[in-house]
Amino acid sequence: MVKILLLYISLFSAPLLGQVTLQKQLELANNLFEDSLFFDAITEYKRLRYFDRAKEFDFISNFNIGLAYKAGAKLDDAARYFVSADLATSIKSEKYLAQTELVKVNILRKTTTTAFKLIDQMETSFPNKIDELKYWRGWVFMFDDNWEAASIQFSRIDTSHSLKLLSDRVQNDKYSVILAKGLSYIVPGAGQIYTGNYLSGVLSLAWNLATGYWTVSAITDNRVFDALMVGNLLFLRFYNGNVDNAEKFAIENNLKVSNEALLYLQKYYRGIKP
Amino acid sequence: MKFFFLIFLISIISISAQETNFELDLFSKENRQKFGDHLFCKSDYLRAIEEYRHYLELESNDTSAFKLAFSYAEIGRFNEAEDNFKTLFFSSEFSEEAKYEFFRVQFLKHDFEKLRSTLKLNTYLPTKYYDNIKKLEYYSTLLDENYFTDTTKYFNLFSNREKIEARNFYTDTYFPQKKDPTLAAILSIIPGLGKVYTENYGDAVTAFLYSTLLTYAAIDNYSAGHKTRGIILGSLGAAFYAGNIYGSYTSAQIFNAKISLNIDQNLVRYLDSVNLFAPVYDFLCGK
Repeated sequence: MVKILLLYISLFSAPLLGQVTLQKQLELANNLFEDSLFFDAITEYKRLRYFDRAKEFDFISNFNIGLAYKAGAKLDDAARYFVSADLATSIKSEKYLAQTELVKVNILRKTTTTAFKLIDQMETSFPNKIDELKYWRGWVFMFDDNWEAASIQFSRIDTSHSLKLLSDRVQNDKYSVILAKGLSYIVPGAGQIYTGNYLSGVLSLAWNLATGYWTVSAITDNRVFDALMVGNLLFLRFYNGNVDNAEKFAIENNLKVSNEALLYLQKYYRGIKP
Repeated sequence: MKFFFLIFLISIISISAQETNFELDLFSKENRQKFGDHLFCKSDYLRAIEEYRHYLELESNDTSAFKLAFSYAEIGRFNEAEDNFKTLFFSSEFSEEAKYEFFRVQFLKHDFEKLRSTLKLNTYLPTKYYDNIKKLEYYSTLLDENYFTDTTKYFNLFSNREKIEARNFYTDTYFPQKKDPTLAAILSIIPGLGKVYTENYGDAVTAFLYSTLLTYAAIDNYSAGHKTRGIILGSLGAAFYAGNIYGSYTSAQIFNAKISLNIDQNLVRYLDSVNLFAPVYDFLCGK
């Protein structure tokens, strides 16, 4: 009787080994992932997903495929798999992990509107993670080039948060576009000088003075046609050009300041990054 | 009784386990093929290639060999695609399809000369898809700047709808409505007229106004005794006038470049929409 039972068990327990196989497959994929062999790791996670009919490893495989794609800068693919990972689980902590990664991917690909929406939803679903979500909202603001809002977000976590200080510094280093334009309206060339483009500022001032003088001199000599011609074709061209240039220089410089800050974060920031 | 209950319990567990994980060796040749098919149908061709290669090392299978070659073509590894399609040319159930795909790869490579020369090899020609290949040949002549051919022999291959497109592309390619840059420059002797010819109306008005008004202001100032201002305005007027002539010349060149680009883009878009006249293969993803 016992022999029959043992034989029966040995025959029918074979499929149970499938569980062991999938577990081993997960280990293989994990090892490849840990060795930064992301292409192969993705293949093996996909193999695991395909043969895991019970979808027992669905979350971990999707999540790690997402991470591997993210490591390879394939952000759209990564986002797709983090969404799948989120849908594959009902465990709250896993959902939080997947959604957080989705936020990070959206930060990296600068789809900040989506990132903000996701954080809004997460604040409702995960009220105990508010501080962490504030942190990621701060990052979204930084990538959205809104350093003032980023500073406010980080100060809500800690008033001397290193990222708050960095955001403040960037905000201070940036030029006011309105001020640059305003200065140029009042004194031609002043906007360029304010943004550090001294030669352009001086040249602009000289052209505006010369053409302005010709225009005024034509008016005082009652040469109306000359005044209109020189005023419209030369003076206004240089005057408007001076204002446009001031705006352009301010925007260019601000972009440079922002990019340098983001580069600094990428290279030297030691905290949690997207 | 207990014994039978135990047997029943084990059976239930085993059957449910079978439902979940029946496969044990995920790297067996059958599973390689299954997984390769899955990747192929998900358009993950690079990974599908690896699976098919391992599978085909262990077993010969025309469908998988075709899919392997097809995957190479899809990821732009055309030489490997060609070589793999060639292995299916003879004694394969997909011989006709492989031959057609071989020509499609030549087209995708833009190796039009080779496509036309290979068409002369009767052993390479698929009888089933002969018309499809001749259609490809026709479009290859339109994309090949160094080749001009008689169209009448091709038009009968196309359906009525396709024929209209084929004729339109032929006219656009060989008889484009181009502008002559020299004529545009000559017309610009009257400022702006060259730009009117190149259909650049906004620039035409600007060129006319700036050139005439600055010239008038220069003459007016000079005759009123303001020689310096006259010279400055005259120089500006001359610069605008020269710019108007040069601008018209380049405007015609830009116009022509845009026309060529548009024709090429429309042609590529159309060929994409008809999938290079490729047949629908039911055996690829079971569609």
